[in-house]
Amino acid sequence: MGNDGSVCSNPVAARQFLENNRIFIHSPKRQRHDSRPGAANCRRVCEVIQASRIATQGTGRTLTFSYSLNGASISQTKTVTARKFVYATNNSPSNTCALAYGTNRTYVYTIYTHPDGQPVSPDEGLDGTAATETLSPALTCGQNTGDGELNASGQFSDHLSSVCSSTPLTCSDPTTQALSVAGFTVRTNALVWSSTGVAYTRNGPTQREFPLLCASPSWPSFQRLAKPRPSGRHPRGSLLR
Amino acid sequence: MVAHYDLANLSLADGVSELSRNPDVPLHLGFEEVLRERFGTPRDRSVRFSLHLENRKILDILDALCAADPRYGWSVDGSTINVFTKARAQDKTDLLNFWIRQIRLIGVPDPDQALTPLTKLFPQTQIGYMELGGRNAYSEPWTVTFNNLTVRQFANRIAGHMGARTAWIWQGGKDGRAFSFIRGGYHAQ
Repeated sequence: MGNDGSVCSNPVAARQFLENNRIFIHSPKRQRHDSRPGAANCRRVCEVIQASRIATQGTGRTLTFSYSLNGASISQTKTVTARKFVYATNNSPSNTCALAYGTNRTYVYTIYTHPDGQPVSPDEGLDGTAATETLSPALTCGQNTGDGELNASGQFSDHLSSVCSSTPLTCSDPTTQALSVAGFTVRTNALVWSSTGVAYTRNGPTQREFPLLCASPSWPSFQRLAKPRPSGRHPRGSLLR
Repeated sequence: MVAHYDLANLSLADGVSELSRNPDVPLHLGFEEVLRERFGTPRDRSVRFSLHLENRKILDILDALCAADPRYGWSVDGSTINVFTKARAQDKTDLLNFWIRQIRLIGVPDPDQALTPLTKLFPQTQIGYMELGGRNAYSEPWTVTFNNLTVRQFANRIAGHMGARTAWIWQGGKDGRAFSFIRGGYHAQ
């Protein structure tokens, strides 16, 4: 379910779209001069634009949008290909902790999707998509955690750190970190806070777990997924201490 | 002058962070928390109060904050306001009161790395830092020498060099303490 952003974000487009479909709607500016029945502002138009039905065939999705206003209604379909965030690769950042003990690294994750097996690219407009983390068991040494979002390059970063100290640290805290994009878990890591800092171990999933699916000839040709609408902005992910 | 300053059932730490975020009053702040039992234990918020002040000077607000939580006092060092716990203010065993005869920074990129020469002056003392917020790098590597000042004043200098509005926090527990240097304002957590 979702909004047709190309219509909702542009009052002129909303008016043109609906006029083309024989529902006469005008932008607020013109509404003052328009006494025709059915005239309403675009905010109200966007409230009624929702995908009312989703049909599935393979990776294809046919979305049916139903529009209605003052008793008049119309439907439009839009076909997209479903993609799923499945795994992530990361860089190998150096430890910028300047003292003898501790960790201060910023990992940058590139997200790959199924079934195409390709990384999310900058031109897909996925920036702002929620990237979240869960930690199990919960941390006990006063670390700060936070969620993030995909940036303009379709990547997200995770700042992993402990106190940087001139003496050994006293925290001991093993946990498993699960990183998700739009609710899909793309990576789990084992993290262990110890006297020397934070140890980081990748636990997958990795590309090796998806080669057959990605190469399957039964998948239809790839199309871009419709741009999701992020629900809000999130602070950049971070782990402190 | 601060037009409106409101705190509702919050702690002094919250009140200081509120001041740090006021864009109309660019401040250099140094805040020393009451140390906890352990680093990981929750921040002390046992003393909570409400304040509603209008058209007050920063100094008036600091007076009101410290009157509401008398464990704290404040002082001015150059362009920096220090808010500290009175119990540690004169404690000669406290790192922040250690005396530095001379310290030389050579091309340090940020206040975090300015602590490395400090650890060499006091090798038996735990010194640490913890990132809080965004980048705190200097506009360019900084080379400078300071003579005859306390570690508290040294923290004021290396934080103040970040820009027009800066803060440093000294926090932690008996098992470890850390500075955090912040450009701009911050949120107490």
